[in-house]
Amino acid sequence: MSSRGRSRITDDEINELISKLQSLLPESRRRNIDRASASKLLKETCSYIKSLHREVDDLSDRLSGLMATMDDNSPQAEIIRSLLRS
Amino acid sequence: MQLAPSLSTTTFKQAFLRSMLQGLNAAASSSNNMSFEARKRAVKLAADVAMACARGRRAKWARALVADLSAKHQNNGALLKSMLGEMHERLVRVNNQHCCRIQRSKKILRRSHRMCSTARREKVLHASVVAKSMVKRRTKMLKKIIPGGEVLNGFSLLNEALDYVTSLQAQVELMRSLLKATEESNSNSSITHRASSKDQLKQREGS
Repeated sequence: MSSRGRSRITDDEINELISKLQSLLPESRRRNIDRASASKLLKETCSYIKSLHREVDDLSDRLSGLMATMDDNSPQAEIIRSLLRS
Repeated sequence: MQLAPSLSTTTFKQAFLRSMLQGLNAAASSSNNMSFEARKRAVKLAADVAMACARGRRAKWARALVADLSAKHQNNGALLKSMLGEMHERLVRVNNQHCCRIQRSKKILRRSHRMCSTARREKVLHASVVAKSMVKRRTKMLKKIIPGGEVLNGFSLLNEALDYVTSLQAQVELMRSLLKATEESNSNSSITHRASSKDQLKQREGS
């Protein structure tokens, strides 16, 4: 996504972005941020990203553990089933 | 300037799962010689590449992540190649050139900061100054944690963060459902396996 030309970013756009970011954070983290604290928003966003990373790490762990106990064709079946299920 | 487009969930989901499938198959085919650690790294790698591919090349963090992983995980070349095609080799080359450039400019910045810091010691610590330096510090953290964030600032950085967090949430969600489906299939197959071996046993006893 490239922006051509330096158009001014309005206050509205900034506020919209900040509130979108805030709404992404889980409830527990949102409570830590009061309205005018950019620093807290940055902090909570950073630590939320880190916790998401840790979760992916843990899920990879468990998934690869399961792969040790299955034959080669099973991952295929799982994923196709997940794809079909919506 | 546009804000980050919201992820089309179905498109992302399908692209992620398909990518993941390629990666896991590549990992499975070489897994006989792999240690548990190596297999776990391969799965994580597949998940991250799948997330970036599903998001698409239009997101800066996705391009940066793929480039970064291609450079760092050259021992997983087969997996990366199966997920990325020739993009993988191209990226390894580009990334090597890019890294040198970034290191050089970081050095220059660090040197100039050292020269300026003596002048700063005189400043009075007003609340606003403290607040500003906190925002600065935390912005730095955010820049480090978002792939490609080092060269972004302000609005772009927050925009990228929004996009990246959304994708990470989707990645977690999809991996959870993948894990669940795998666990279920495993328990199902072990039940049928036990049932069929019970039948075999009964047949043998009968004769």
